[in-house]
Amino acid sequence: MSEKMKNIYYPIDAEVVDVVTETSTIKTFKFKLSEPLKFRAGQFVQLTVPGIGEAPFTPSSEPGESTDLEITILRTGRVTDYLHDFIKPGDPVGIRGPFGEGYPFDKFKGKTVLVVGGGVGLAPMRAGIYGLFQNIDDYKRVSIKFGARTPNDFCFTDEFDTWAKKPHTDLKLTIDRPFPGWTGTVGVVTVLLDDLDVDIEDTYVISCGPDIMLKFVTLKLLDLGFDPFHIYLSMNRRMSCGFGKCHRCNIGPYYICKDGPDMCYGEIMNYPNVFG
Amino acid sequence: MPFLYLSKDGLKELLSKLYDWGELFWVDGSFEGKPRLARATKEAIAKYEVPALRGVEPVKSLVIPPKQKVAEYPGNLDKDIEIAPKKRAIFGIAQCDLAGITIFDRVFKDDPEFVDPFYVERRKGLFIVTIDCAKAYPSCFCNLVKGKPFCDPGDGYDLNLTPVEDGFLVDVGTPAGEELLKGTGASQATDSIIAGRDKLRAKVTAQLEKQNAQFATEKTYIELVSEVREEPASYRHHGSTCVECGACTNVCPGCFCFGIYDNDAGDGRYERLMTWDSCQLAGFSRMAGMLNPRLRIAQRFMHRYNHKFFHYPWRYEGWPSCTGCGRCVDNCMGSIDMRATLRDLTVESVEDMLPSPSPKVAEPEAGK
Ligand SMILES: Cc1cc2nc3c(=O)[nH]c(=O)nc-3n(C[C@H](O)[C@H](O)[C@H](O)COP(=O)(O)OP(=O)(O)OC[C@H]3O[C@@H](n4cnc5c(N)ncnc54)[C@H](O)[C@@H]3O)c2cc1C
Ligand code: SF4
Ligand code: SF4
Repeated sequence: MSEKMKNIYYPIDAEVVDVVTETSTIKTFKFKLSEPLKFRAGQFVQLTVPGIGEAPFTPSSEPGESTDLEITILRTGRVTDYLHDFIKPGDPVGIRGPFGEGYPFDKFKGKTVLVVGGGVGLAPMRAGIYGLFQNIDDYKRVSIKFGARTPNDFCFTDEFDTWAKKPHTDLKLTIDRPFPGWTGTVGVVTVLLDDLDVDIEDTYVISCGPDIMLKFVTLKLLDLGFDPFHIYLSMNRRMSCGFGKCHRCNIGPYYICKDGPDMCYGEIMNYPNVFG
Repeated sequence: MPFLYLSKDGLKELLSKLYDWGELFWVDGSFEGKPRLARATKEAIAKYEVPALRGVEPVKSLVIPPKQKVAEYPGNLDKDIEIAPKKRAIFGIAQCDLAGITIFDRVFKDDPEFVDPFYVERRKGLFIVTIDCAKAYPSCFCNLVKGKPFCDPGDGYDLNLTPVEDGFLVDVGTPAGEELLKGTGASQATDSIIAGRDKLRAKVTAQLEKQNAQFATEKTYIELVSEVREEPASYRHHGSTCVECGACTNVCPGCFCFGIYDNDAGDGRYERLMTWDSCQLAGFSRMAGMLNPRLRIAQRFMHRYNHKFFHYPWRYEGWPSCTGCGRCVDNCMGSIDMRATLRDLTVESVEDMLPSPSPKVAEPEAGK
């Protein structure tokens, strides 16, 4: 009477092939998976550090199907500290996923896409940006606004020039406070929304960053007249399973893991504690 | 299938057959006071008594153990796992416990995308005998949450028993149930025995309606909880005596939230454990940097009610994930009565609310 079933809790084996230091607190880990993983932009995975535990991350590498995967990680606690302090090329890890819906790129066709990221939020946004670049002519325009504390806190700086040269794409940066040698914009990321030159009614926004940033970006966008249903936020919530069972990550009846992690603000705005 | 009559001797016969068929657990009414969940022994069959009310413990540990190993890694050893359902029977559970299993089924077994193989393994081999409640605890409120003190065909039992004069009326739910009933001397039930069942059901239902009248609301609990957006004062008022022990979620037949933890298993291998968790504890939703979207007790309190009466029914065709068994009421260290909290959801002023902590609800006098 026995039968075979997939074990949804099992991580597929992967090996660390490279670790790149992005900033003093952020590293990109490159993995080789024992079998290909197929994910859409915005979907996330659970990364297992053997014996230490799992934590959810959105890959920062190009969406699609591959045995190569990159994740860019900020050190902030048990699992992430261990990754930063001890994990080196050759070490085994595990990957479970992908989970979540990912970005609704279909809705963005023919529209302007405004990409707003802050801090380590740039990491998940990179998969989103690569995803947009895969069919760049589907969109009217892609406008990227990134913020970080100092110029040294941006990751992927060596790619910024390439991004800005893509068709109908522009990229603007800002840092929180004046910094020696920085001649660009100063102020939190919302200052880049001050003189927005997009057709607001025809624009969708995707945003990722700390809760506090998401909050002020959202308030600013609403102030500018954006439709709450045009704003997609990468929500941060504690997660265990990743597939809508453990009931930690909900906002209202929605599961961030299953229905997100990029949630349409219009759908969640009436529920308590959206921004923590 | 016609209704059958089973004598008290026939019941012992059925229990012996179940004992030989597989692993047998039962809710035993022969304990002093309240019926308890226990593993059956051959010797105890002779003095087993059917329970008049639900067991003290929920039966959820039989389908979701408090702690279980769900993976061992590295090495793609158990990505696809062999499941071999074991024959296991639970005898004498009430409707509120069967409804609890149905709550889990929707999440772990019937999900179109992510099916839990460990749950399926336990669930597939499970043989369920339900029994109608002959009494109700003062804390029971199944009648307020789409439940009832008895089971109907379609609820998912293999056999359902109703205590009637000198024996039991049996309703057969599955072919497996029919098979196990063979050789127990079960015979066609007479009309008067069936009438006895209807009388018992009506009596207990009336008792529930009476004891819960003070908690009844015009709108259903699901409507009330689902409509609320701002944190109602009721959650602060009734939640104020919560000491965060987590008893309410542990004893609940409808609570299934869990955590996943990894351990070193030695020899370069690691094991992944799935354990019960409780949304009433602060760590449940704490994130990196000590951020916590449910930092205050009232927020976590609201979350538990929301899950049971809003999020779950929203996802699963209007079914709540509370079966009204009243165990959380009986076991709360802070004497919090879920019904009082729900009844007061739309009450604005604390003066108009039921007292906190909740006084014990008196059982209505027998026969009234
Ligand atoms: C969908 C999603 C995508 C993410 N993508 C990235 C990313 O690309 N890069 C990055 O650096 N960070 C990302 N995060 C945040 C990252 O998951 C947390 O920083 C990480 O879980 C912290 O784990 P820890 O063990 O180091 O921290 P601890 O504080 O020790 O946390 C212990 C446990 O809490 C849980 N937890 C803690 N913080 C969070 C959180 N913010 N979200 C969810 N669970 C949490 C985890 O299960 C973790 O194992 C993402 C979070 C989510 C939900
Ligand atoms: S919430 Fe309380 S009454 Fe409802 S099923 Fe759980 S323990 Fe029983
Ligand atoms: S049983 Fe009562 S005191 Fe314990 S966590 Fe639940 S509500 Fe709080």
